[in-house]
Amino acid sequence: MSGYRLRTHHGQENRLTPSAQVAQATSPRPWAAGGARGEGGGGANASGSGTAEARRRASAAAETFENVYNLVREHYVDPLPSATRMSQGTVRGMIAALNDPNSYFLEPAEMRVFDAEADGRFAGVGAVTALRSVKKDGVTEHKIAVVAPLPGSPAEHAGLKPGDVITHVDGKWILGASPLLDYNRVLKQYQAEGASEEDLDKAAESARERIRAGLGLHKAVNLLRRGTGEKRVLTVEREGAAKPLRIELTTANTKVEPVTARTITVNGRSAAYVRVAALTQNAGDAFARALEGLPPADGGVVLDLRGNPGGSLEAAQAIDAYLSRGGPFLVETVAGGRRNTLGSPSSSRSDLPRVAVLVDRGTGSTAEALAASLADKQNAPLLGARTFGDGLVQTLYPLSDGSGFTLTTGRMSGPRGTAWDRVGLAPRVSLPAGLTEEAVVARALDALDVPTAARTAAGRPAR
Amino acid sequence: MRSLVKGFVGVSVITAGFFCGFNADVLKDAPRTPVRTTLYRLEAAPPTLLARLARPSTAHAAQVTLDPTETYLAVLNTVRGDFLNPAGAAAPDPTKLTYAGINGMLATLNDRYTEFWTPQEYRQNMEETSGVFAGIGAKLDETKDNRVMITEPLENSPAARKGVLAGDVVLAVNGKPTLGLTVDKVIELIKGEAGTTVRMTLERKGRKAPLSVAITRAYVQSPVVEWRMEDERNRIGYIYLEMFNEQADQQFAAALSKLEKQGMKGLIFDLRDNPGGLLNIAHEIASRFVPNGPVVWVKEKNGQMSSMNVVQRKHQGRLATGSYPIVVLVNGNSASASEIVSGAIRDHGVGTLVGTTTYGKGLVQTIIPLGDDSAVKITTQHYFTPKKQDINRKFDEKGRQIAGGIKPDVEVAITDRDLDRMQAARRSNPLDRKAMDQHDPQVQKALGLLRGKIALGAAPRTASIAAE
Repeated sequence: MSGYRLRTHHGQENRLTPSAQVAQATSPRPWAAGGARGEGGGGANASGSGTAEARRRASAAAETFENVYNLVREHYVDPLPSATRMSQGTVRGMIAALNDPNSYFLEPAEMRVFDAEADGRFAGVGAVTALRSVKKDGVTEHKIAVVAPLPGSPAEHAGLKPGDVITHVDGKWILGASPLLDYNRVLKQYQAEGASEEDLDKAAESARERIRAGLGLHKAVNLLRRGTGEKRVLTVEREGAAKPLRIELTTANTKVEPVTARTITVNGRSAAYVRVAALTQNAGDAFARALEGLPPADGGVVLDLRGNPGGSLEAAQAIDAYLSRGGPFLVETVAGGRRNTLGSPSSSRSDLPRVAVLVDRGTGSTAEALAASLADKQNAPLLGARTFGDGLVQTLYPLSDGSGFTLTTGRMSGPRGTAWDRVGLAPRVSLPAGLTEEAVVARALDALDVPTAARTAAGRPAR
Repeated sequence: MRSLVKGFVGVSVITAGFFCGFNADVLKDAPRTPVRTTLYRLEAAPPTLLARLARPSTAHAAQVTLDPTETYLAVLNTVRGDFLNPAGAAAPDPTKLTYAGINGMLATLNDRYTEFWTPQEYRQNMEETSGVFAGIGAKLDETKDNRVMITEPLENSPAARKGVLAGDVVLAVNGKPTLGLTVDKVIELIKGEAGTTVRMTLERKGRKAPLSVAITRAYVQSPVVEWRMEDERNRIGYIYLEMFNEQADQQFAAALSKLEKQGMKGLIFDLRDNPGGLLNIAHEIASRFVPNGPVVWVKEKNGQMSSMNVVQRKHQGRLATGSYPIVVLVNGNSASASEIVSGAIRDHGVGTLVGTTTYGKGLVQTIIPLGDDSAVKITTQHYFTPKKQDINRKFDEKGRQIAGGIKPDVEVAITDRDLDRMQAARRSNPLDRKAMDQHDPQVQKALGLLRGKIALGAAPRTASIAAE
């Protein structure tokens, strides 16, 4: 998952977040303070979806659940699994029923992977992936797409690229869609006399084979995200490549330094060049420290979000607050169609730097949110290539036994409505690949020097 | 194999979820835990709930036990409040989420027989158990030339009252031609609610013009027993039992008495592909065969073993006195209640088992209806044969079966070639079951054994097994 937040509290999201919370949000364990504020994730919201009839049905259903649990406890002949295990099964079943590839249950071990990644410690192949749902012939298929390989990771060394779709791990087919779909299609033809019994047998055999040899979506993601020193072979579909690529690599730990910064001077103009490689939980703090450690630059800040797959929403928000006069950061459309604006209190800072943002196909999720906010609010020019296009927010809900689950809880758009989900953000200035940092910074400074009126006329990022 | 016999009108073919026990006592006194209503007020979930479920602030805090009901409620509230369906569909339905949660919880038991039934599944299962269905009351089968034929209008059924005959070929249902449709498809067309009418176009031998019959569907008692004098010359009777539903014992007794009136000298009792059914019915049917003592042993949750002994009022007549030899046919799909009956017959030495090793399900389930018309089926007992053999299948770590089932006294398998021949015989004349049995090596073996025993005189009874 490339964009997420830890469980936050809905009551707060309807207004701008006080700055204290921005700071708090970048602390490593924001949920520590969460419990005290927890007005109940569902409390306020569930009431919105409930007619009296719906509430009555929900209450009858809840009674059924408790009855089943008590009856099983009382009558099941053999020893039962622990209450915790049964609870985990409950959550797994409920979340799976949502049929959303980005909402899933996490075992305690999977939660620890999540925690490590939030701290910038990645294992496995070291690439951030996103699950994409594609509707084809009325059937939804899920795909694992690479948002970006992390700097210094096995994936980067092996040449994995943003936008690559991983179809097999170690030669095993990833079950992005039920293998029965093919069978059902043939069955329909057979029933309409359009296919022979032999065709049907063949389809059944192939479905069986795929189920036997295939990898579940989350099993595949786990293989990509876990392990060190293990050989993996990825089969990858790449746009423009005639046939699937075979990529071999050895898994390793990748420690991502979220922020690196230096001053770049070109043609007598200097810029603070800050690269944010991933939005780890501490990226906001690291960003502030890095920028404050640089001498003042007359040309402005060049924020490099290329290859940044996103991460913590709170970290993105903290960086946005630092580079702007605060105010709205993003608009999140949540359940029931309500729109929440997230942001920081507006300030009248006078020392606000000019900002240009570098983006590419590996800029995803909350990194896209940061780019869109700066473009919408500060009229910051985006330079590079069209971004990945992941606008969904997942919230991670930890449970007290160490397990947890994620839910898709919102769709992001910029403070002025710029949306990028599935379409990406178009850069104002397209840059060819392979330019040096100096050349890129020169182009960014040029873009910043275009008079404001002309910049506005040049338009905002595409929707 | 009996699975060749196609379905009945108004009968849904039994699915995998067979069960053995339906403990009426538990059913009646289904323990209904008083509902803590405050927990279910979804509009005002206790604010502490999520907070309590939230992870402690230190990463590696002591493991905390989760309570399934509290967890379920917290997740239900969270999902209903927070989930944004990316596909843009409506808010998740709480009932669907609840059932998914229950299924997820029960999946952790790793027992395929403990399962939750939605109201629809419960209704369907109860229909099967009661043996009463809405329909026209006729059995259908497919002929060699892919036409659908009525093989038997059931006694006193709407079909029989309208003069439908065995051998009639169904040409159309409600005007829709059946040409090219499978027998299952035709059955789908004929099925419907009681009180509604279906119009059938029939072709009858010896009549030029097709018949058109309007039949009002009604509740009919569906037969679970099929019987015939398999060997007229040697007076060997045959009774096939499809499942142990509420009608099974009564229908078995009726078939038995008809065969006895025809002077039966030997009996083939076919339990192949019988997935089981009600424990009390298995108890009753076994009591007809077994003279005294335990029919089956059951072990409760608390480890206590008790025997279910012969129901004496069922143990009477010629079957009880052992006046003719018995062969029971079993195969890998004879499960549960079938294994109780065949296990009792074998352990008491009152019959010979012929076929292949049975399925191996030594567990009893209890079905408990719930307030919203759903139900839960829970494994509540283990059972053992009268000689206390555990027949439940067991697996090694690699998932390979290492034990289980009842090994027949005489092992006879059915090959694919046998099956092809049986199928061909059946399709060439669906009305002539005996023609199919000619190619059934298990039936042939049974006939051979019984002819031998009849020639030598009736089999003696063995000693009884003591009850506790």
